[in-house]
Amino acid sequence: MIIPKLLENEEKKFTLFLNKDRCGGCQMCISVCPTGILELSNELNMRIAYIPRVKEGKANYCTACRRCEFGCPDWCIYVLNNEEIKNKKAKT
Amino acid sequence: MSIKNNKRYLPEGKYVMMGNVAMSEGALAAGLNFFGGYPITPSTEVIEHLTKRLPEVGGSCIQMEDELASINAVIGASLAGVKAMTATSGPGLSLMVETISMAANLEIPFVLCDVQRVGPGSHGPVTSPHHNDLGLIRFAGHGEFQVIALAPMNCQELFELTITAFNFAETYRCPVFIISDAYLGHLHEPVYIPPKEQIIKKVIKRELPQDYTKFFSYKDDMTGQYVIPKTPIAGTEYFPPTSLHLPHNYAGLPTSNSLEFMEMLIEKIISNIDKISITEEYRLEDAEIIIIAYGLPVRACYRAVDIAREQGIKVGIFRLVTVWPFPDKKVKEVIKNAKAIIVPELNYTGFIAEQVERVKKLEIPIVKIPKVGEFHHPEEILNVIKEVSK
Amino acid sequence: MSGLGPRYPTEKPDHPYVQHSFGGFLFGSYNSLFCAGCGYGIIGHLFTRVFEDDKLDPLSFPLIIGIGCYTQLVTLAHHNSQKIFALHGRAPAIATGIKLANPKLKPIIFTGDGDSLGIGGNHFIHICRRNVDCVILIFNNSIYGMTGGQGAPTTLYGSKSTTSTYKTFENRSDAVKLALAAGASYIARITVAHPRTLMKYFRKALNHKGTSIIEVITPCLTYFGSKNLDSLGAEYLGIQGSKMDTGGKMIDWIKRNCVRKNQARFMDDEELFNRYIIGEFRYDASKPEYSEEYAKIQKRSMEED
Repeated sequence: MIIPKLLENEEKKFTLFLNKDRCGGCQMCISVCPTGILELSNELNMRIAYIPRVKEGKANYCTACRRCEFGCPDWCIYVLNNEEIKNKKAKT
Repeated sequence: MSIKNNKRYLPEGKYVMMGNVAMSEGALAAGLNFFGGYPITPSTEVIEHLTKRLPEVGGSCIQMEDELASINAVIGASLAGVKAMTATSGPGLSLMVETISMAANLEIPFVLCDVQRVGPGSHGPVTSPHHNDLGLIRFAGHGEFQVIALAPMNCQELFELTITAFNFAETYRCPVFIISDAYLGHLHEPVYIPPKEQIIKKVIKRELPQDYTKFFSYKDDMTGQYVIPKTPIAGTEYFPPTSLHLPHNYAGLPTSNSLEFMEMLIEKIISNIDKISITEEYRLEDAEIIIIAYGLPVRACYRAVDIAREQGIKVGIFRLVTVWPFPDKKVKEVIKNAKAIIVPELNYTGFIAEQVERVKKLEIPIVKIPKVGEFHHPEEILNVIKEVSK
Repeated sequence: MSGLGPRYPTEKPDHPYVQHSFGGFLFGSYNSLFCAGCGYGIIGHLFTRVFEDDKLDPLSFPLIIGIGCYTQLVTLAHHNSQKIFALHGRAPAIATGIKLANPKLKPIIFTGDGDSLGIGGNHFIHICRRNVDCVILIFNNSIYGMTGGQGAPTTLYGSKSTTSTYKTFENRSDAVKLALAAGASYIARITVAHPRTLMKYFRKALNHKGTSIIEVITPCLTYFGSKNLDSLGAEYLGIQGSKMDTGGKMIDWIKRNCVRKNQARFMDDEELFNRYIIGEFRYDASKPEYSEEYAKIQKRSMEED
């Protein structure tokens, strides 16, 4: 299974991943994002919680500051550089 | 006393020592490296003597802020791989019981010397003896577990039995108590210290085992015996991945069979009772009256028995050196043909007298139905009733 | 541990630090044992990250864990670290025993606000006084979470808990002031909403020889947040707040309630009431450490006659 990519930035070479089923719906990532690009969606996951999504048209405002990654208590939203993705795919 | 070169062992010879000091020297000879204590009459001399002696041998002695911190520091030091002990009296032991219960679950070895004084309460004649903690020592904490308790009667035995106590702690990984009291701790008597080569041969060391997969005791399915691995040491690879204080299996992982866990904690000692139970007999061959005693009162019994035998009364002494676990079988054998039993104890309740009464009355069967963490089913009880009524 | 939560299939590519945590190492995937919105998941992440990035050896940092919701933090800690479970409030005493028995180990203590300032208050004062080389992390969520939301020594004035259903009117105790008076050598307070600063303080504490106290303010959503209004800490403004029922609202409340140390010098007591002052309060590298002083005594007594 592939984890859905919330947004992908080709020129700066990183991808924001969200593991849907681990999310608890706490909205901490939405509060700590400095550019404010995340919002609550209407999609329910297996933990019966609303998961976040990127606001329309704001995908290129993401600077990969990783504040959402450090602020997520369920370890489900994270930023990976494209080299790291290639390394992981090679290992697994 | 001034000693040169390898100060742990005193040179061979006879010394005049106080009971508490003899016990400290015994602990040092057994390999003690950590003492955490709190001053309380009548056990203060132990920490005062070890404060001077333990740094000389490379160990640590620390006076903690209360008894709770003392016993917890002893547990921490035992986990880090050194032999540790503490000494206290009645009021201190009452504070330490929660930690003793935790140490019994995790099978952490340590030695505790209880220099008893008159109780209950904290005031009163603190320099008078009163063997009132026997019940507290046997049930030292919530939960079920078995302890070992040794009762010396003079200073020479305080030296030797402390070494035995440390050996029991290392072999059986349970709390070991030394039952002393205010008179015995402060008595000055000659003590013979053997040469250090003899002592080193007797001591069981704390070391790493060969097998790094089993950390706690378990029952070997093939032989039915309990296997007790060596104590884990923090900071090395030999340490369980989790050690929560709940019923666990030999790897430290939780198990749902709590009854088996309780059985292990108790049976690992009871199944080895022949090696643990030390007793002495004095003029018991044709005795009709039997004296069962331990600790200080035995000294008076020896003299009384000699005088009585001269007058023709057939009396003998069965002395308990290991008080807990109580040697049911041996005592039952000894009192088979007795006409009367005398149990002189330094307390009112008569803790050992109650145990002797229990052993004497075991002519009709008593069947236990043990369960942990669940209800009894009426059918189980009915089955036992039917079996017994046959 | 039974009841580690539902096991969803592992998906690729996974969070980079899951495989290094204890739960991830055993089961391949991590599923949260904590409430959604609890700050302990963040702390576990930062702990594993520091150990993995700096390539520290977990065998020389035994973890001593008290009793509370953070006892389950072991599933998030690094998989090689040695975990010792202490009784309620007695972790500093066990740390003293371990340090003196083997001075090469440096204990890290996980404790909570009730565990260290309530039942363990005595041991806390004495380990600071002795300056034993260890790191104490106090997780302050101002409530007793594990047993269902009772009041703690650090519960904020005016809030509600199950044992103070009308109003908490006790003064709250302050771990930083206690540690300053007792004599610890590195004292800091930080919150879960400042994760990079927390990692910086933690690295500084790991390299410092002496007692380091780091108080971490974490949110407790289920028992504190959802029962109290977010006007706590803003009493001087006199506003009527709303209940904090999501993790995002609690993080906003924590960030609003924090005041940096240099800012606090210019504010009066009314403005600072029920707020948290964050920053480093003391860093004294010259204070003598306990096991080093004891080693000098050992050397002296071994040479003397």
